[in-house]
Amino acid sequence: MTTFTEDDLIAYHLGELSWLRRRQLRSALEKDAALAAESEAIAETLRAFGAEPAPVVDEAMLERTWQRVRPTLEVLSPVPHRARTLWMVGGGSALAGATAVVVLVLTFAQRVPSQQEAVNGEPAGSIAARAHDLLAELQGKSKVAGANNNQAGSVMVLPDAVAEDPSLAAHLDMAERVLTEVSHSDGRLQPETQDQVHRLLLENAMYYQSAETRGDMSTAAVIDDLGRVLTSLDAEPRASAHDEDSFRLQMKVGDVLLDLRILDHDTKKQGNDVKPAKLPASTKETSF
Amino acid sequence: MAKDEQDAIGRVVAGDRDAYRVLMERHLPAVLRLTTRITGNSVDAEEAAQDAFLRAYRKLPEFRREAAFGTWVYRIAMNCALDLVERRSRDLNWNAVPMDGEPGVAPVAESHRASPERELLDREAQTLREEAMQILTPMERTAFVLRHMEDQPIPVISAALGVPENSARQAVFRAVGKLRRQLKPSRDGRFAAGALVQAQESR
Repeated sequence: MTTFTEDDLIAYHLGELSWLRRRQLRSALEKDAALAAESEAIAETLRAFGAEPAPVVDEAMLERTWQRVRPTLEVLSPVPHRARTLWMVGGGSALAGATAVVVLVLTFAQRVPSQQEAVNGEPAGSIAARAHDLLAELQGKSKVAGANNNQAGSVMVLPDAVAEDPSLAAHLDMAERVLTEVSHSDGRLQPETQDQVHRLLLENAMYYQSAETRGDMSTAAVIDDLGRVLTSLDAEPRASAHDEDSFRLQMKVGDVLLDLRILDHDTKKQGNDVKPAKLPASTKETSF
Repeated sequence: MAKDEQDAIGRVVAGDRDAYRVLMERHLPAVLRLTTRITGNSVDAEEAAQDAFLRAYRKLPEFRREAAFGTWVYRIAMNCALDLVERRSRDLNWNAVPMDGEPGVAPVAESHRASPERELLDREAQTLREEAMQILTPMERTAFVLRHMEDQPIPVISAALGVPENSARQAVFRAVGKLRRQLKPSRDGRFAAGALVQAQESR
């Protein structure tokens, strides 16, 4: 006979059990009175916390919150999105390149067909056809994957660095995990965490340099901030979570973690591999 | 995302700070409900909500317009509230009980004026719930609130907490187990969780 634990019962009430396991548990609940009593106690506990009234946000509270936040807001200036900037820079270069190719091809095309010559052993018509294909890809007209693009549509000139670099993505993931662990623990770091911090620090310098060379300044800025936090953690293990330095470091860890999560969020959004979070009903009604 | 929100974001990014009020006005209720549930008191809830909107504002130029601002600020608020709860748990001198001596209860939605008895029962129920929640670690509390009260799926909770999905799931299970034991029959034989449910149902 299948046995069920308290976790199974909690998972059942929270809708976290598989269909098959749920069916087995339902059947067991009908036969086992003790299990049914335990299940009811869990359900009652959940009900006790399920119907908490929501706070009311009235005009006064909104005004109060706004008045507190408003003075701290700096005037923003539009910053072109990193990928968009790269695309524009890359796109401009590609367009200039394409124009040069067209000029060259036209020069050859005018001369070659009349004389029916081959250029580097390749018939002139073939060169013109390749130029036409390249132009179609550049202009996003090609519906099939092209040799210059490996995908349908416009030629990708500068792909997103994080999304395209699994080792950088893995590095940022690992950093996020380690910093989360650090922020959730008190006192000195565990030796294995300390080792991870040290390894991350060594790798971080390389990724920073790479991002900077690439001109990917927003990623470089996050990596740079991460480097500062890692250096502090590596050099000065926290003796106590209550001293001022430690508190400041905790704050910095929190900021860097947020940056990493936003970068991760942006990257995943770019890759379209993350579904939007399910929001509570009231938010859905008003927001989307 | 609604067009007026996109317009507001465009205006804010172009330098119009006051346009941010539109976004705050729309999303403050959901954010505040979340932060109240995670922090357990209105003082911290307001602080975490303000922090979330401030952080979102600073990151707004990098915000991808095709994403939903509501989802984004909600996730930032999860982190702000969790950070605050963790900071408070380290600072033993912190006491969020307001000056009038009442427990830090957020104002609640009431469709009618409650009787004094009803208000007393509500306050008792709230105190019981809050006392029970105090035994949870910040991570357990956040995971439980997000899963059970805010109906967020485990992958979202795991991302918010920065832990693997299984750890997030275990944190929720541990929280429910602890709450259940905390609300077990009291000395007078009443089942505390049952009393809370009755109090809510008679509302």
